Amino acid sequence: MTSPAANVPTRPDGPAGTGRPSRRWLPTGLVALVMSVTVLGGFVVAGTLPVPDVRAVALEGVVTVHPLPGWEVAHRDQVSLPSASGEVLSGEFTQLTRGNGALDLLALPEVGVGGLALADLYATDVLSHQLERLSVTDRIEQILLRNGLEAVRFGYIGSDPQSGSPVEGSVTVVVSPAGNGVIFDGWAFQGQLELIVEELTAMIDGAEVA
Amino acid sequence: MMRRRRLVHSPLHHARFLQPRLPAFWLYVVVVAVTGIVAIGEQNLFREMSPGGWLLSWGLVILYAAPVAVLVYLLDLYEREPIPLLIAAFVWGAVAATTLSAIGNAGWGVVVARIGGPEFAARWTAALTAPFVEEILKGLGVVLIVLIARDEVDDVMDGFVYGALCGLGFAVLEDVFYFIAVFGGDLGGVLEGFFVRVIASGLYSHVLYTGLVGMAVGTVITRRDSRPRHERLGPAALLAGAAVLGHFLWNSPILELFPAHPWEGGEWFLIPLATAVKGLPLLLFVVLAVRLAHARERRWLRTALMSEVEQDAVTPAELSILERPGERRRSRRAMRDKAGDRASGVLGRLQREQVNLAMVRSRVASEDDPALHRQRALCRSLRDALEAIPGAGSAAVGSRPVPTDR
Repeated sequence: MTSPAANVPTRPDGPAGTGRPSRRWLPTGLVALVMSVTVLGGFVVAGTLPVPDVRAVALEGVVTVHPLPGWEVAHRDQVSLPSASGEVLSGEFTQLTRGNGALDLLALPEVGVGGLALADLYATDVLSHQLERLSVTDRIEQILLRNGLEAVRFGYIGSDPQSGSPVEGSVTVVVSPAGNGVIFDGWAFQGQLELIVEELTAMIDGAEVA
Repeated sequence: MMRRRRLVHSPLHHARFLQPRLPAFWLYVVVVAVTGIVAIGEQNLFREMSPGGWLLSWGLVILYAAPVAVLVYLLDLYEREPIPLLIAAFVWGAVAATTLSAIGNAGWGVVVARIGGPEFAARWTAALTAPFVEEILKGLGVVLIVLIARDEVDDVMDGFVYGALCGLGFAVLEDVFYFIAVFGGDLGGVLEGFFVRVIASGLYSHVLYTGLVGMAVGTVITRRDSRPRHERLGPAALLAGAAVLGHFLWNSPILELFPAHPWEGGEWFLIPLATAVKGLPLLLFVVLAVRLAHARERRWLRTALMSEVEQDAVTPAELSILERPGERRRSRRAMRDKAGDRASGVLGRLQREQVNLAMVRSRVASEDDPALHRQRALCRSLRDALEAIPGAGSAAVGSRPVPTDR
């Protein structure tokens, strides 16, 4: 006697009605092409569009920045900041942008504090008011810029209160031997900072600080 | 002496993801490997910035993603897709599509800024770049799955399943990003982010968009539509266009009813309302499209198996039950009650093989194809095996017509 299960048949071998699939080089190549155009095409198209000619930007006679191709001045203003000692620091603000990111420049003549204190002041009195849910990296780097100046650098993330979009940035603070302070705040939306970080670094390294 | 033959898996589910002879497989692997390095780096950064928030974020998104993935899987009523391919679609959305989209959005964002200026770009870049860039890149994941396992993607619903899982992967990574980078990454921020992005918006996002894009891919490559391919391009474009339009509306400042942050009291209730205004129309469109796709699958199954009735591969009563997945489950339960688990298992396999018979019919060119004969014979012998089980014969469904193909 056999069990009922013994009568359960096995399947015919192989997939019914199907053969070995072809390699499909052409459609795979098309996928790679569409992917490349979608990912990189914007940069190529942007390269063909006219770029405003931006000359060197000088702030308060404290710092001169040479914008790279594609960067343009979006905003310029006189600003003042309350310092830790209660004094008011006055200076000039300029924003350079290239659409997907920006470099905010703040020049403060005779700032009277060191780089660390100025960095702390910027995070506390500027960034925390501009951004929601601000989170600043614990570690502050001491770096030497290519132009020979000592600087401190920290990163942050937060969100734009108007659009709610996430913002990430890297702040470099320099206090020159003459006591002038310069803050370079390079920032971008949602994971795009790394795409402009080389250009930001080049502009910061090439800046002339008095 | 008792001998047992091993029940084997259906050959129609044997398409593997690992197919080193296919260039599409290697394109998939290379892109996921390279973008994976970036994605892991980003997760590492989030973990360092807020270890607790990062863990909580992943816990919450898994809580959301797991039932959605199961729901999408079950939406395919007749032929469930192989798990490795579904995982591949999910991974493409989570790793490759998110990373490549960040680069693509940035590049096209520069174009928007150059043409429209900084102020226009600030308001419209997200709406003018992401819907195109992200839907194309996620959709390419579905196309790669098709190229890797062409035999597994038969129709519109299959495309929906792969597309929706690709979109789910994208949404999961994006949600974690938002919980940490936008909502602060602390306990309150992550929970707030979960409310806004999952509870209030989770029904409307990438799962729907890419589900529609997947349906568009399925419409083009389907084997169950007698129309020539060029006639199917219009409906496919409509589906993909609806996905892009829905995504555009979601990202644009149009119909922006979101209350300004910080939210207090009744403003929390406005958030689901604001997201519903933008997302509900697309959700209804997708529900309609899925229902139409189900109806189309049912028609296809009936048409494919009607002629098999006279071949004794399926009885009229079996066909009637096969068309309704709920009835299939009920008939197996009834069989288990009357004749035990083994009979219920054999009935389940008979039903699967009868659905596979419909698949085979739609893949072979001729009535005399040996594969079709083999599949019919398999169905008949499964029914014989079922009827040989004590108690199962009387419970077996339907009467048997006179065989003509034995």
